[in-house]
Amino acid sequence: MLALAGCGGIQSATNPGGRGADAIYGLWSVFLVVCAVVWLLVMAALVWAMLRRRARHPMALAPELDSDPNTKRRLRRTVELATVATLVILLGLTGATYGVVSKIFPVHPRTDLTIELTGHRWWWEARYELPGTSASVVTANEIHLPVGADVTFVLRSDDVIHSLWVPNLDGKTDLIPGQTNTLTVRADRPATYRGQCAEFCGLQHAYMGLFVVAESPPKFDQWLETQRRPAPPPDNPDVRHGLDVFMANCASCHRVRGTGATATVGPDLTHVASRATIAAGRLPNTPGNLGGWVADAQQQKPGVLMPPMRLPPADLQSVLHYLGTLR
Amino acid sequence: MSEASASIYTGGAEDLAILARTWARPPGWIGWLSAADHKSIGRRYLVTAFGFFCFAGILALLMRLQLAQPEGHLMGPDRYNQVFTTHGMTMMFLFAVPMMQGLGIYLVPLMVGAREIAFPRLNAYSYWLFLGGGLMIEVPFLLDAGPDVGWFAYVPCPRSSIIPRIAPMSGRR
Repeated sequence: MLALAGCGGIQSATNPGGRGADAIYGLWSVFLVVCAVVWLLVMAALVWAMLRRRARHPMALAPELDSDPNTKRRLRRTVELATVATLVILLGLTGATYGVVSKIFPVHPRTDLTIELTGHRWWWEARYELPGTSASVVTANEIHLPVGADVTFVLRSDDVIHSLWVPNLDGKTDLIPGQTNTLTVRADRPATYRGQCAEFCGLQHAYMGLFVVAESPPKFDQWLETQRRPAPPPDNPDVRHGLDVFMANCASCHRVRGTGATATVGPDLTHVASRATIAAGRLPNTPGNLGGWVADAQQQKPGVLMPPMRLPPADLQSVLHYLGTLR
Repeated sequence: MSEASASIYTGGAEDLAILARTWARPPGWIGWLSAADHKSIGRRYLVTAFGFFCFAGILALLMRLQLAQPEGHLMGPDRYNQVFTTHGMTMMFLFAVPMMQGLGIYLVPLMVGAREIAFPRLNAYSYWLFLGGGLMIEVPFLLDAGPDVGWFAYVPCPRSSIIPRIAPMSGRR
């Protein structure tokens, strides 16, 4: 499962898979090499100076002031050279940084697809804007992107400050209540990455994760088409009972398009079974995990805003069966 | 004639005694508590700030222990948030700033050749405020009721009016 993949570079700025992350990784590499060379030269000069002084004046306590004009000229040359080199390096690194910043944050970014991303404690709500239609696609904690497209995130917050950080794709950008920020990313190859809220937002900040699935445009279109459809009506009595239980217990917070459940307090569950994880990347989406989550979410994420649902076991099974049909 | 050229001070032993009495520390533990000498106060700042530094260091070790492996269960999320908040506040406000202040209070009068810093009793009072305020930060933490919103406390995260729209039936807040 995605969540169990752990490391493997799915949440690493040193494994860039998009335009912004490429630029940042390139800049980071330049800094690393330049600074490493400078550090080595400085250390070498220091060691050389210490050895030389000892060799020439084994008993000297204070350095001798050389009055020889040739030595003086050579010393001045060296200091001048070092000063100019320092200036050139600092200005060069500054210029390179500006170049990368202008690449990551262009003034007028091209946009092929807009996703409104809203931060909640402690999950992500993604709303896909579909031009030329009133239909909307709303999902949570799992964002699909077409490879090669410029995708603009319109970032808002519902409560406190959050920050979107998918290190394999781009730098981080804050989600601030009362303010709208944007971030345009482009994924360059199909892969799944993990993102993380990067601004401390309260009790469950550490488990406010999200997954970004970059896929080929045909696969993305197929996914979007599926997500666009309302939930299928129940096709057997057990599932129908599950829908009744859902409407009685869950509909006050959750929305399932195609039913009477229209609340937007918690994540939209219209296609919850299509997602790889639940609880903002906390758990793999298995019936067992989902059952435990519905029964007592506090066990997995203490303080989470979803209350425990004390359902009779049969009702819990039915509602899990119903949720399983929401693909 | 010879008396005047020997020293600038021309007063008698009685004046010197008054001066010594004025600057002397009262005897006993009341005297210890009411000490206003800049070297005493400076030392107290340094020792107290070092104590807070050690406490914050233990908190840092607790954080590293929690993070030494994924899904660490040494502390729950609320306790962990209290630990890094208290660590940050302690390092900034109860170590870094008072440490420099203590050094200054101890050294600057010696460096400029002054008997005391200006307002020595205000200086002593400041130390006791520092100690009391510091304890007010640490004691709630020891009672598991410390601040847990980061030492920078970016609003609106710490605002108490941000309450869950659906109150959890378990969990602290």
